[in-house]
Amino acid sequence: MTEPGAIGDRSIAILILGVLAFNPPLLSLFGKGGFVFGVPLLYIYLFLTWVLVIVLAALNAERGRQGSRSQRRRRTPKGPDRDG
Amino acid sequence: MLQGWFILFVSFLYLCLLFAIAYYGDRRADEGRSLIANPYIYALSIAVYCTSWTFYGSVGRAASSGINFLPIYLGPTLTFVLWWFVLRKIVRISRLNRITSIADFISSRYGKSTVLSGLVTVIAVVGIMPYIALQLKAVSTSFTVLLQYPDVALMQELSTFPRLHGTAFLVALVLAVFSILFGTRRVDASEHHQGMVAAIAFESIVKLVAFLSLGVFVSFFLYDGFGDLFTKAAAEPALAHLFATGGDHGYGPWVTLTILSMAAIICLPRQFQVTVVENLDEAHLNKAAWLFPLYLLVINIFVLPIAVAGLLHFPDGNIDADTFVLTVPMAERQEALTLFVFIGGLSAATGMVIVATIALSTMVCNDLIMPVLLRTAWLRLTERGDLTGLLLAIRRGSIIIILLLGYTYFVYIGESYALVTIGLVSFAAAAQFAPAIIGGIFWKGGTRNGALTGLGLGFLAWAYTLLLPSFAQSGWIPAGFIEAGPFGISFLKPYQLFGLESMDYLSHALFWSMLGNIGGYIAVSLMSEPRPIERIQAQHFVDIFRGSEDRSSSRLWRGTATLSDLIDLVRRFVGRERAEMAFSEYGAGRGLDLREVHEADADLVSFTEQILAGTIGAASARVVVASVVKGEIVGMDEVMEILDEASQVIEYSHQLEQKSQELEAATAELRAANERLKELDRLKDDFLTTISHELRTPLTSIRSFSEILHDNPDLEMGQRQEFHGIIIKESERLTRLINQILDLAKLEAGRMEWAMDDIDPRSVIEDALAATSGLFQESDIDLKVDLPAELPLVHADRDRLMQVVVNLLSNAVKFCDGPDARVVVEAMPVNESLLVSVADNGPGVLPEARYRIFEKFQQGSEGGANMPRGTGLGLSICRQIVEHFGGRIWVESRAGQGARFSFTVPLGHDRGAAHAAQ
Repeated sequence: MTEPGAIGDRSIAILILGVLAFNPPLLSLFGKGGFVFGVPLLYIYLFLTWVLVIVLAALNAERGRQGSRSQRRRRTPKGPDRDG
Repeated sequence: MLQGWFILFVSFLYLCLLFAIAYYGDRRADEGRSLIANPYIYALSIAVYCTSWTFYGSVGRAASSGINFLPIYLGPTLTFVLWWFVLRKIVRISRLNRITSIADFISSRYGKSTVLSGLVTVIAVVGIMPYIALQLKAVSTSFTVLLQYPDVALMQELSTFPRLHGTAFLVALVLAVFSILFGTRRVDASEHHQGMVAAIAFESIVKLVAFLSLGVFVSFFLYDGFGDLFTKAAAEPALAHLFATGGDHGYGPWVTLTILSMAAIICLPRQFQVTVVENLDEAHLNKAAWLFPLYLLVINIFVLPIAVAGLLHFPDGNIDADTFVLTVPMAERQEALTLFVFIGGLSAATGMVIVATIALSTMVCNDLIMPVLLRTAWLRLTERGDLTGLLLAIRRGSIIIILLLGYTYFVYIGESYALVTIGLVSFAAAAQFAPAIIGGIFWKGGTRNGALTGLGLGFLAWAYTLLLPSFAQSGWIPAGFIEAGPFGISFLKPYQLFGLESMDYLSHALFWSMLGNIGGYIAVSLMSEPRPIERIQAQHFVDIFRGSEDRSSSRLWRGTATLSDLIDLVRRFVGRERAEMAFSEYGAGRGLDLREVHEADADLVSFTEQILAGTIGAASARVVVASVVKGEIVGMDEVMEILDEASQVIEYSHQLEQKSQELEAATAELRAANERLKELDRLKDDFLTTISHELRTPLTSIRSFSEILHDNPDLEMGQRQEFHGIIIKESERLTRLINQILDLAKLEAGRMEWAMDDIDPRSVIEDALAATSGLFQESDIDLKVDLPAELPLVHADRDRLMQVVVNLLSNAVKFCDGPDARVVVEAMPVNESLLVSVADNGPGVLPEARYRIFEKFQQGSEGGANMPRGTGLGLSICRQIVEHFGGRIWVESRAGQGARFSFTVPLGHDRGAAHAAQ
């Protein structure tokens, strides 16, 4: 079955991150003016979070390409030695 | 150098290059070596989103409102983050249904309604026309600006120059030729226009490189990097507002623009065309999902720096900010760069116009004109000969008309508006499709009437609050329309409808149109009863990932048609050659010899409908097929049956899956049990062998000594005595062996009689030691007994407990040899039980045998052949007894350092409990 699964869940999470980051109140927090190394803080903030969203989306999409196996090998713990 | 003829010449060369690329792309496609079949070209082609509106308009917008140009690009990023849910689904649906346009998509979903597809087409054409005009305007303006080189034209002057509409007209003509050549090569609109896509991808590269070149020049050559540029800007108090959020209407416009662009990236007809219709492979979406947002990010990095540089360069404000992209390099006398930037702007404009025109012309032909022609009875269209020519002529005609309309719009209205404003009007129009699309692929309840109502209301609200005011600003209708309301009714002012005053005009328009659109869609959908075909399509669209080979739609046709009728029909619309190819492929795929088929079954009818849908759209295809199929379309009851059946099949297959998983698990268990049984069987065989051997040894010696005694009556007394002794000893051994077997059998069958009582363990252990003391003396083993002074009572059967201790002791003796052999017996209370252990310093027990030796028929001595052999039952009996008492028995051992057998027995109850236990 090709229902969303993990890749879908992650993309929802990234969307929520993007919506929060690109809108007030977080946006207004950085939108009061101010400069970092001469560059407007707002400009830096928006482009950096934008990069972050794209990187996360890329990781998610490329991981989805490789299929969703990768279930870690289960190691059976060694039982106590004495047991009749 | 930058004279008119030279600019025209370079532009002409550039357009020729586009033609060449498109031609090459088509040729490669014909040869089967597609140029565009990779995710990078796909992502670049989606970047047709960045038009001259981005190229010139973003800088203009940034110059007036700072960072507020950005939401138009953040929105699509957010939508593409959701590609897995939305885009992937739309692409899959469109591929399986041979969708040709956004109108086709919406009408397909809502029962292949021709009314709906017509409405969508009208909205699209009316809504996108300003956008096309905007591109022509951009080309014309940029050309005019460039012509003044080296003077930088002032804003007031610009409008006094002779209106060079000629350029725009010329460009429109060239683009019409391009669209006709590469957009209508084939009659099958669901096929891919590979040459066109290749050219668009190339244009995306050109505009990106041009914009970045300018950005780098401005930021790093004119100024000393971002820091320097922004520091100089910060010194101007007038520019401070550019670096902060908020504005006249707070965050309203920001949020509105984000929402609008989120919808536009899917709903703009040209975006639907490149993203969905031209998609070659669903897997390309994976990469495009982040490559396209990355493209948007890169092309926007330098927007604010260029805007700021423009404002610093021309502080008087008499240069149109929309032209900063050209005027800044012009002011710096950078001829080549200026020209390159102009070409970049040209590529941004032409790319959009080409794709939009092709998309619109397909819609106009398939969804507006064809349904009308097909329904016009006196034309008898479906009975005529080859219609492919007619189809292509309609499409080509629509391309020309659309471009002419765009040109006209530009000439009469375009001058009065800034670039961004025109674009936003189009965005708001395209956003009207979003509820019908998103609702259509996630909600089965949406109906045709709901979609019609929603789209209609949304369109009306859009036209009233955005389109008419733009006419008023251009002087087509009195300007008082905006300020005072129509006929002076202030209640109906288009920017403050019904007195809603607090919002900016765009948010205001979006609110009213979406209120009507979403509200109408949901309300009417809930109230209206969907027709059969709507239900089928709803199920098909929403559940597209649950069984993509869903055949239920074919069962909608119950009537009959002859095969020759169908082939005839397809031939007329797609041409003889392609029709015959399609049908023979169909026949080959199903092992049918079509020459022997006379009556077409439902599958074949449905297949015909699909081929036609790829050419004339789903709605028209349905009309056409209905004209040759005799008999009725199935009724509501049958549809419900089909749907039920489909969902039952899904349910059933789900159950099957579960069952087979359970079966697998059960099989695994059975296999394990079987292995265990085999192992036990093997053990039993081994045991029988051992036992027979064990029984035979004493029997043999008894017999042989008896025979000696019998045959030799005159043996010496001493020898006779010795032989008798051996016979007795061997008989005892035999008896012991048989007793053990009997014991074990009793234990296993649960027939052992237990005399459970609270007993003193010390006396048991001492008795056991006494019973085995002979063995110890015989083997010369050092015995060490370590019992505490006080031992609590234990609850057990005295004889059986002694049997256990004796067994462990004799085992220890057996496995213990050498000069310093030693056995240690210990006892101590632990928790609620008594722990008794017997340790030897023999060879020990192999780790893998530690559990096994307590199994019956097992010998601990497999490690060495010289070990004394027991019956293999002693420890097994011990375990059964100890476990019956409620204790445990185990062995600890290290190879070569002896073994320590321990067991526990529960402590005795108090007196009352001891009685109760009996």
